[in-house]
Amino acid sequence: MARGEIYVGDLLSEAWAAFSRNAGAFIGATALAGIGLIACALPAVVPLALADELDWHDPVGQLALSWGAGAAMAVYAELVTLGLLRMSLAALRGQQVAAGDVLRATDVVVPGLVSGLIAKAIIVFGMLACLIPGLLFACSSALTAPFVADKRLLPWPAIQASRAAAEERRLSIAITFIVAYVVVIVGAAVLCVGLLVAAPLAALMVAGLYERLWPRARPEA
Amino acid sequence: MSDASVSDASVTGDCGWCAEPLGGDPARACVGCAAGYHRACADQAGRCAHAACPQARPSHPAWTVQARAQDWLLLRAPRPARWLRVLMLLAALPLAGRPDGKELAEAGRELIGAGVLDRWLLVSALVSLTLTPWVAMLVLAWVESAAHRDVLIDAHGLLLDHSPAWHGARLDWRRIAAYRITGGGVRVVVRGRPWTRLLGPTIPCEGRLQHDVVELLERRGVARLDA
Repeated sequence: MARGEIYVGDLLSEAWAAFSRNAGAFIGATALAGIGLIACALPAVVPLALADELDWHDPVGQLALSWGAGAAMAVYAELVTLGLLRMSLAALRGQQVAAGDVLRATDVVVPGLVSGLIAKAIIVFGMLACLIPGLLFACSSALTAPFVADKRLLPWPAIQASRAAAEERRLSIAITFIVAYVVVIVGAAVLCVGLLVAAPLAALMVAGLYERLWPRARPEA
Repeated sequence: MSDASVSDASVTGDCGWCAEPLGGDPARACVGCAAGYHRACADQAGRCAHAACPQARPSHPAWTVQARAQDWLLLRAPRPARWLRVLMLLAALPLAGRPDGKELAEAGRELIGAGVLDRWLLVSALVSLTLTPWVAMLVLAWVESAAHRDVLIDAHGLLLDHSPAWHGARLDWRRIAAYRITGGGVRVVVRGRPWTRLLGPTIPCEGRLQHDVVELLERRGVARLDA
Protein backbone atom coordinates (compact mmCIF):
# COMPACT_ATOMS: atom_id res chain seq x y z
CA MET A 1 0.00 0.00 0.00
CA ALA A 2 1.54 3.31 -1.06
CA ARG A 3 1.33 5.49 2.06
CA GLY A 4 0.32 9.10 1.63
CA GLU A 5 -1.08 8.74 -1.92
CA ILE A 6 -4.87 8.63 -2.11
CA TYR A 7 -6.75 7.34 -5.13
CA VAL A 8 -10.40 6.58 -4.47
CA GLY A 9 -10.39 3.81 -7.11
CA ASP A 10 -7.52 2.08 -5.29
CA LEU A 11 -9.32 2.44 -1.97
CA LEU A 12 -12.47 0.91 -3.45
CA SER A 13 -10.67 -2.04 -5.05
CA GLU A 14 -8.66 -2.69 -1.87
CA ALA A 15 -11.87 -2.54 0.14
CA TRP A 16 -13.55 -5.00 -2.22
CA ALA A 17 -10.56 -7.39 -2.06
CA ALA A 18 -10.53 -7.31 1.77
CA PHE A 19 -14.32 -7.76 1.84
CA SER A 20 -14.13 -10.76 -0.55
CA ARG A 21 -11.53 -12.45 1.68
CA ASN A 22 -13.71 -12.01 4.80
CA ALA A 23 -17.23 -11.78 3.32
CA GLY A 24 -18.85 -14.06 5.92
CA ALA A 25 -17.42 -12.16 8.88
CA PHE A 26 -18.35 -8.74 7.49
CA ILE A 27 -21.90 -9.73 6.50
CA GLY A 28 -22.40 -11.35 9.93
CA ALA A 29 -21.03 -8.25 11.68
CA THR A 30 -23.31 -5.89 9.74
CA ALA A 31 -26.31 -8.12 10.43
CA LEU A 32 -25.44 -8.09 14.16
CA ALA A 33 -25.17 -4.31 14.06
CA GLY A 34 -28.55 -3.98 12.31
CA ILE A 35 -30.34 -6.41 14.66
CA GLY A 36 -28.94 -4.55 17.68
CA LEU A 37 -30.07 -1.17 16.35
CA ILE A 38 -33.58 -2.51 15.70
CA ALA A 39 -33.63 -4.00 19.23
CA CYS A 40 -32.70 -0.58 20.67
CA ALA A 41 -35.41 1.20 18.66
CA LEU A 42 -38.30 -1.26 19.11
CA PRO A 43 -39.14 -0.52 22.78
CA ALA A 44 -39.81 3.10 21.75
CA VAL A 45 -41.17 2.70 18.22
CA VAL A 46 -43.93 0.18 19.08
CA PRO A 47 -45.58 2.09 21.97
CA LEU A 48 -45.28 5.40 20.09
CA ALA A 49 -46.84 3.91 16.93
CA LEU A 50 -49.67 2.39 18.96
CA ALA A 51 -50.15 5.44 21.21
CA ASP A 52 -53.69 6.13 19.89
CA GLU A 53 -54.79 2.49 20.16
CA LEU A 54 -53.35 2.28 23.69
CA ASP A 55 -54.94 5.64 24.56
CA TRP A 56 -51.54 6.90 25.73
CA HIS A 57 -51.44 10.70 25.56
CA ASP A 58 -48.57 11.63 27.84
CA PRO A 59 -46.26 14.02 25.91
CA VAL A 60 -43.52 13.96 28.56
CA GLY A 61 -43.53 10.16 28.73
CA GLN A 62 -43.47 9.87 24.93
CA LEU A 63 -40.65 12.39 24.69
CA ALA A 64 -38.64 10.59 27.41
CA LEU A 65 -39.16 7.24 25.69
CA SER A 66 -38.03 8.47 22.28
CA TRP A 67 -35.11 10.37 23.89
CA GLY A 68 -33.99 7.25 25.81
CA ALA A 69 -34.24 5.03 22.74
CA GLY A 70 -32.30 7.62 20.73
CA ALA A 71 -29.52 7.64 23.33
CA ALA A 72 -29.38 3.82 23.43
CA MET A 73 -29.21 3.72 19.63
CA ALA A 74 -26.46 6.35 19.57
CA VAL A 75 -24.33 4.37 22.05
CA TYR A 76 -24.88 1.10 20.19
CA ALA A 77 -24.21 2.76 16.82
CA GLU A 78 -20.92 4.13 18.19
CA LEU A 79 -19.96 0.68 19.49
CA VAL A 80 -20.59 -1.07 16.17
CA THR A 81 -19.04 1.74 14.10
CA LEU A 82 -15.80 1.55 16.08
CA GLY A 83 -15.98 -2.26 15.99
CA LEU A 84 -16.47 -2.29 12.22
CA LEU A 85 -13.55 0.11 11.79
CA ARG A 86 -11.31 -2.13 13.90
CA MET A 87 -12.43 -5.16 11.89
CA SER A 88 -11.72 -3.31 8.64
CA LEU A 89 -8.23 -2.30 9.78
CA ALA A 90 -7.50 -5.88 10.85
CA ALA A 91 -8.74 -7.21 7.48
CA LEU A 92 -6.62 -4.70 5.55
CA ARG A 93 -3.58 -5.72 7.63
CA GLY A 94 -4.18 -9.36 6.69
CA GLN A 95 -5.35 -10.47 10.14
CA GLN A 96 -8.19 -12.86 10.88
CA VAL A 97 -11.59 -11.30 11.65
CA ALA A 98 -14.83 -12.74 13.03
CA ALA A 99 -18.40 -11.38 13.02
CA GLY A 100 -18.39 -11.02 16.83
CA ASP A 101 -15.49 -8.54 16.66
CA VAL A 102 -17.99 -5.82 15.80
CA LEU A 103 -19.14 -5.79 19.45
CA ARG A 104 -15.66 -5.82 20.99
CA ALA A 105 -14.81 -2.10 20.89
CA THR A 106 -16.29 -1.50 24.36
CA ASP A 107 -12.99 -0.02 25.61
CA VAL A 108 -13.24 2.97 23.27
CA VAL A 109 -16.99 3.73 23.30
CA VAL A 110 -16.70 6.62 25.78
CA PRO A 111 -13.86 8.47 24.01
CA GLY A 112 -15.56 7.67 20.69
CA LEU A 113 -18.86 9.20 21.78
CA VAL A 114 -17.24 12.24 23.39
CA SER A 115 -14.95 12.96 20.44
CA GLY A 116 -17.88 12.57 18.03
CA LEU A 117 -19.99 15.02 20.02
CA ILE A 118 -17.17 17.56 20.31
CA ALA A 119 -16.43 17.35 16.58
CA LYS A 120 -20.14 17.65 15.75
CA ALA A 121 -20.48 20.75 17.95
CA ILE A 122 -17.47 22.43 16.31
CA ILE A 123 -18.82 21.56 12.84
CA VAL A 124 -22.22 23.10 13.71
CA PHE A 125 -20.55 26.31 14.94
CA GLY A 126 -18.38 26.31 11.82
CA MET A 127 -21.42 25.91 9.58
CA LEU A 128 -23.05 28.86 11.33
CA ALA A 129 -19.94 30.90 10.48
CA CYS A 130 -20.69 30.91 6.73
CA LEU A 131 -20.40 27.18 6.01
CA ILE A 132 -16.75 27.02 4.90
CA PRO A 133 -15.11 26.65 8.37
CA GLY A 134 -17.61 23.88 9.19
CA LEU A 135 -16.88 21.99 5.97
CA LEU A 136 -13.11 22.34 6.48
CA PHE A 137 -13.34 21.07 10.04
CA ALA A 138 -15.62 18.21 8.96
CA CYS A 139 -12.89 17.03 6.56
CA SER A 140 -10.15 17.58 9.16
CA SER A 141 -11.94 15.61 11.89
CA ALA A 142 -13.13 12.81 9.61
CA LEU A 143 -10.47 10.39 10.85
CA THR A 144 -11.16 10.94 14.55
CA ALA A 145 -13.06 7.65 14.95
CA PRO A 146 -10.31 5.49 13.37
CA PHE A 147 -7.73 7.15 15.64
CA VAL A 148 -9.89 6.36 18.69
CA ALA A 149 -10.55 2.79 17.53
CA ASP A 150 -7.01 1.95 16.42
CA LYS A 151 -4.65 4.00 18.61
CA ARG A 152 -7.03 4.24 21.59
CA LEU A 153 -6.46 8.00 21.74
CA LEU A 154 -8.50 10.20 24.08
CA PRO A 155 -11.10 12.56 22.54
CA TRP A 156 -9.12 15.78 22.05
CA PRO A 157 -5.81 14.10 21.09
CA ALA A 158 -7.76 12.03 18.55
CA ILE A 159 -9.26 15.17 16.97
CA GLN A 160 -5.79 16.79 16.89
CA ALA A 161 -4.27 13.66 15.32
CA SER A 162 -7.03 13.60 12.70
CA ARG A 163 -6.41 17.27 11.88
CA ALA A 164 -2.67 16.63 11.53
CA ALA A 165 -3.28 13.59 9.29
CA ALA A 166 -5.73 15.51 7.09
CA GLU A 167 -3.36 18.41 6.51
CA GLU A 168 -3.27 19.14 2.73
CA ARG A 169 -5.46 16.09 2.04
CA ARG A 170 -8.89 17.52 2.81
CA LEU A 171 -10.17 17.29 -0.75
CA SER A 172 -9.16 13.62 -1.09
CA ILE A 173 -10.82 12.90 2.27
CA ALA A 174 -14.01 14.67 1.18
CA ILE A 175 -14.11 12.73 -2.11
CA THR A 176 -13.50 9.40 -0.34
CA PHE A 177 -16.30 10.07 2.14
CA ILE A 178 -18.69 11.15 -0.62
CA VAL A 179 -17.96 7.94 -2.57
CA ALA A 180 -18.38 5.84 0.61
CA TYR A 181 -21.69 7.63 1.24
CA VAL A 182 -22.87 6.90 -2.31
CA VAL A 183 -21.94 3.22 -1.82
CA VAL A 184 -24.08 3.11 1.34
CA ILE A 185 -27.02 4.86 -0.40
CA VAL A 186 -26.87 2.39 -3.30
CA GLY A 187 -26.77 -0.48 -0.76
CA ALA A 188 -29.76 0.91 1.09
CA ALA A 189 -31.65 1.32 -2.18
CA VAL A 190 -31.43 -2.45 -2.79
CA LEU A 191 -34.18 -3.19 -0.25
CA CYS A 192 -31.70 -2.46 2.57
CA VAL A 193 -30.18 -5.95 2.06
CA GLY A 194 -27.45 -4.32 0.05
CA LEU A 195 -26.30 -2.63 3.25
CA LEU A 196 -24.82 -5.96 4.34
CA VAL A 197 -22.21 -5.42 1.63
CA ALA A 198 -22.24 -1.62 1.31
CA ALA A 199 -21.67 -0.74 5.00
CA PRO A 200 -18.53 -2.91 5.37
CA LEU A 201 -17.27 -1.60 2.01
CA ALA A 202 -17.64 1.98 3.23
CA ALA A 203 -15.90 1.12 6.53
CA LEU A 204 -13.08 -0.60 4.62
CA MET A 205 -12.66 2.49 2.43
CA VAL A 206 -12.40 4.76 5.48
CA ALA A 207 -9.98 2.30 7.12
CA GLY A 208 -7.87 2.25 3.94
CA LEU A 209 -7.80 6.04 3.91
CA TYR A 210 -6.75 6.12 7.57
CA GLU A 211 -4.08 3.48 6.95
CA ARG A 212 -2.50 5.74 4.31
CA LEU A 213 -2.73 8.93 6.33
CA TRP A 214 -1.98 8.11 9.97
CA PRO A 215 1.81 7.70 9.61
CA ARG A 216 2.12 11.31 8.38
CA ALA A 217 0.19 12.72 11.36
CA ARG A 218 2.62 14.63 13.59
CA PRO A 219 0.26 16.44 15.94
CA GLU A 220 1.48 19.14 18.28
CA ALA A 221 0.35 18.71 21.86
CA MET B 1 10.61 -1.09 34.35
CA SER B 2 7.06 -0.23 35.26
CA ASP B 3 4.48 -2.90 35.98
CA ALA B 4 2.87 -2.10 32.63
CA SER B 5 5.92 -3.06 30.63
CA VAL B 6 7.12 -6.21 32.42
CA SER B 7 5.57 -9.37 33.75
CA ASP B 8 6.95 -11.83 36.28
CA ALA B 9 7.83 -14.96 34.37
CA SER B 10 10.00 -18.02 34.38
CA VAL B 11 12.41 -16.84 31.69
CA THR B 12 15.47 -18.80 30.68
CA GLY B 13 18.65 -17.68 28.90
CA ASP B 14 20.77 -14.61 29.64
CA CYS B 15 19.68 -11.32 31.20
CA GLY B 16 19.13 -8.60 28.60
CA TRP B 17 20.88 -6.01 30.83
CA CYS B 18 23.87 -7.69 32.56
CA ALA B 19 24.17 -10.66 30.14
CA GLU B 20 24.53 -13.08 33.10
CA PRO B 21 22.44 -16.31 33.00
CA LEU B 22 18.96 -15.96 34.48
CA GLY B 23 18.84 -19.52 35.84
CA GLY B 24 17.62 -19.77 39.41
CA ASP B 25 16.96 -16.04 39.95
CA PRO B 26 13.46 -14.59 39.94
CA ALA B 27 13.15 -13.06 36.47
CA ARG B 28 11.02 -10.49 34.65
CA ALA B 29 10.02 -10.53 30.98
CA CYS B 30 9.43 -7.51 28.76
CA VAL B 31 5.84 -7.52 27.45
CA GLY B 32 7.04 -5.95 24.20
CA CYS B 33 9.63 -8.54 23.08
CA ALA B 34 9.68 -11.18 25.87
CA ALA B 35 13.38 -10.51 26.65
CA GLY B 36 14.28 -11.69 30.17
CA TYR B 37 15.86 -9.64 32.96
CA HIS B 38 16.89 -10.18 36.58
CA ARG B 39 14.52 -8.26 38.84
CA ALA B 40 17.32 -5.97 40.01
CA CYS B 41 18.51 -5.42 36.43
CA ALA B 42 14.98 -4.53 35.26
CA ASP B 43 14.73 -1.92 38.02
CA GLN B 44 18.18 -0.59 37.21
CA ALA B 45 17.54 -0.40 33.44
CA GLY B 46 14.15 1.26 33.69
CA ARG B 47 13.42 0.10 30.13
CA CYS B 48 13.84 -2.85 27.82
CA ALA B 49 17.39 -2.88 26.47
CA HIS B 50 16.47 -4.76 23.28
CA ALA B 51 17.01 -2.32 20.40
CA ALA B 52 14.01 -3.42 18.31
CA CYS B 53 11.58 -3.61 21.23
CA PRO B 54 8.52 -1.33 21.10
CA GLN B 55 8.91 -0.81 24.88
CA ALA B 56 12.47 0.46 24.46
CA ARG B 57 11.74 3.89 25.95
CA PRO B 58 12.25 4.25 29.70
CA SER B 59 9.14 3.48 31.67
CA HIS B 60 10.26 3.51 35.28
CA PRO B 61 7.96 5.68 37.39
CA ALA B 62 10.95 7.24 39.16
CA TRP B 63 14.32 8.43 37.92
CA THR B 64 16.75 5.69 36.96
CA VAL B 65 20.49 6.04 36.43
CA GLN B 66 20.19 5.96 32.64
CA ALA B 67 17.01 8.03 32.45
CA ARG B 68 18.59 10.76 34.60
CA ALA B 69 21.68 10.80 32.39
CA GLN B 70 19.60 11.28 29.24
CA ASP B 71 16.81 13.41 30.71
CA TRP B 72 14.28 10.70 29.89
CA LEU B 73 11.24 10.19 32.03
CA LEU B 74 7.84 8.64 31.41
CA LEU B 75 5.09 9.87 33.72
CA ARG B 76 1.94 7.83 33.68
CA ALA B 77 -1.24 9.79 34.31
CA PRO B 78 -3.72 8.51 36.87
CA ARG B 79 -6.74 7.00 35.14
CA PRO B 80 -10.01 8.89 35.68
CA ALA B 81 -12.19 7.51 38.46
CA ARG B 82 -14.68 4.96 37.07
CA TRP B 83 -17.63 6.48 38.98
CA LEU B 84 -16.89 9.91 37.54
CA ARG B 85 -16.74 8.55 33.97
CA VAL B 86 -20.01 6.64 34.40
CA LEU B 87 -21.77 9.60 36.03
CA MET B 88 -20.64 12.06 33.38
CA LEU B 89 -21.44 9.64 30.56
CA LEU B 90 -24.97 9.15 31.88
CA ALA B 91 -25.37 12.93 32.17
CA ALA B 92 -24.02 13.48 28.63
CA LEU B 93 -26.04 10.67 27.04
CA PRO B 94 -29.20 12.70 26.34
CA LEU B 95 -27.05 14.71 23.96
CA ALA B 96 -26.54 11.62 21.80
CA GLY B 97 -30.20 10.73 21.39
CA ARG B 98 -31.65 14.22 21.53
CA PRO B 99 -34.95 14.45 19.63
CA ASP B 100 -35.24 17.24 17.07
CA GLY B 101 -36.63 20.67 17.90
CA LYS B 102 -39.98 19.84 16.28
CA GLU B 103 -40.69 17.00 18.71
CA LEU B 104 -39.66 19.14 21.67
CA ALA B 105 -41.83 22.04 20.47
CA GLU B 106 -44.85 19.74 20.02
CA ALA B 107 -44.46 18.31 23.52
CA GLY B 108 -44.05 21.84 24.89
CA ARG B 109 -47.19 23.07 23.11
CA GLU B 110 -49.23 20.16 24.50
CA LEU B 111 -47.96 20.74 28.03
CA ILE B 112 -48.71 24.47 27.89
CA GLY B 113 -52.09 23.82 26.28
CA ALA B 114 -53.02 21.33 29.01
CA GLY B 115 -51.99 23.86 31.66
CA VAL B 116 -49.46 21.43 33.15
CA LEU B 117 -46.55 23.83 32.79
CA ASP B 118 -46.10 27.55 32.75
CA ARG B 119 -44.41 28.89 29.57
CA TRP B 120 -41.33 30.19 31.41
CA LEU B 121 -41.00 26.98 33.43
CA LEU B 122 -40.98 25.05 30.17
CA VAL B 123 -38.32 27.32 28.65
CA SER B 124 -36.19 26.92 31.76
CA ALA B 125 -36.64 23.12 31.69
CA LEU B 126 -35.67 22.92 28.02
CA VAL B 127 -32.63 25.15 28.51
CA SER B 128 -31.39 23.06 31.44
CA LEU B 129 -32.16 19.82 29.58
CA THR B 130 -30.04 21.10 26.72
CA LEU B 131 -27.23 22.66 28.73
CA THR B 132 -26.72 19.99 31.40
CA PRO B 133 -25.61 17.26 28.96
CA TRP B 134 -23.24 19.71 27.24
CA VAL B 135 -21.65 20.70 30.53
CA ALA B 136 -21.39 17.02 31.52
CA MET B 137 -19.83 16.24 28.17
CA LEU B 138 -17.25 18.99 28.55
CA VAL B 139 -16.39 17.77 32.06
CA LEU B 140 -16.11 14.23 30.68
CA ALA B 141 -13.85 15.40 27.85
CA TRP B 142 -11.67 17.27 30.35
CA VAL B 143 -11.54 14.29 32.71
CA GLU B 144 -10.67 12.00 29.80
CA SER B 145 -8.10 14.20 28.08
CA ALA B 146 -6.66 17.35 29.47
CA ALA B 147 -5.62 16.23 32.91
CA HIS B 148 -4.95 12.56 32.26
CA ARG B 149 -2.42 12.14 29.49
CA ASP B 150 0.80 10.14 29.81
CA VAL B 151 3.86 12.33 29.24
CA LEU B 152 7.33 11.27 28.16
CA ILE B 153 10.03 13.87 28.81
CA ASP B 154 13.05 13.43 26.56
CA ALA B 155 15.82 15.44 24.94
CA HIS B 156 13.45 17.08 22.43
CA GLY B 157 10.69 18.12 24.80
CA LEU B 158 7.43 16.49 25.86
CA LEU B 159 5.78 13.60 24.05
CA LEU B 160 2.13 13.07 24.97
CA ASP B 161 -0.04 9.94 24.49
CA HIS B 162 2.98 7.94 23.28
CA SER B 163 2.43 4.18 23.07
CA PRO B 164 4.02 1.30 21.18
CA ALA B 165 1.36 1.78 18.47
CA TRP B 166 1.29 5.59 18.30
CA HIS B 167 4.18 8.05 17.97
CA GLY B 168 2.38 10.60 20.13
CA ALA B 169 1.94 14.38 20.05
CA ARG B 170 5.15 16.39 20.38
CA LEU B 171 5.79 19.63 22.29
CA ASP B 172 9.35 20.89 21.65
CA TRP B 173 11.33 22.65 24.38
CA ARG B 174 11.36 25.88 22.33
CA ARG B 175 7.52 25.87 22.28
CA ILE B 176 7.27 25.73 26.07
CA ALA B 177 7.07 29.25 27.48
CA ALA B 178 6.65 28.55 31.18
CA TYR B 179 5.31 26.13 33.76
CA ARG B 180 3.09 26.35 36.79
CA ILE B 181 2.48 23.91 39.60
CA THR B 182 -1.09 22.68 39.95
CA GLY B 183 -2.88 20.11 42.08
CA GLY B 184 -2.36 17.32 39.55
CA GLY B 185 1.26 18.04 38.65
CA VAL B 186 3.14 20.56 36.54
CA ARG B 187 1.21 22.39 33.81
CA VAL B 188 3.18 23.74 30.86
CA VAL B 189 2.25 26.96 29.09
CA VAL B 190 2.73 26.85 25.33
CA ARG B 191 4.14 29.84 23.45
CA GLY B 192 1.42 31.72 21.52
CA ARG B 193 -1.43 29.90 23.25
CA PRO B 194 -2.50 32.00 26.26
CA TRP B 195 -5.33 29.61 27.15
CA THR B 196 -2.76 26.95 28.08
CA ARG B 197 -2.21 28.89 31.33
CA LEU B 198 -5.46 27.24 32.41
CA LEU B 199 -5.83 24.30 30.00
CA GLY B 200 -2.25 23.41 29.06
CA PRO B 201 -0.87 19.86 29.08
CA THR B 202 -0.21 18.70 32.63
CA ILE B 203 2.76 16.53 33.55
CA PRO B 204 1.33 14.17 36.19
CA CYS B 205 3.73 14.08 39.15
CA GLU B 206 3.74 14.59 42.90
CA GLY B 207 6.22 14.86 45.74
CA ARG B 208 9.82 13.99 45.00
CA LEU B 209 9.02 13.30 41.35
CA GLN B 210 7.48 16.79 40.97
CA HIS B 211 10.67 18.29 42.38
CA ASP B 212 12.71 16.35 39.79
CA VAL B 213 10.43 17.45 36.95
CA VAL B 214 10.68 21.11 38.01
CA GLU B 215 14.46 20.76 38.25
CA LEU B 216 14.56 19.34 34.73
CA LEU B 217 12.30 22.09 33.31
CA GLU B 218 14.46 24.80 34.87
CA ARG B 219 17.60 23.14 33.55
CA ARG B 220 15.97 23.47 30.11
CA GLY B 221 15.39 27.20 30.67
CA VAL B 222 11.63 27.00 31.28
CA ALA B 223 10.62 29.64 33.82
CA ARG B 224 8.05 29.27 36.57
CA LEU B 225 4.97 31.34 35.77
CA ASP B 226 3.98 32.34 39.30
CA ALA B 227 7.54 32.88 40.60
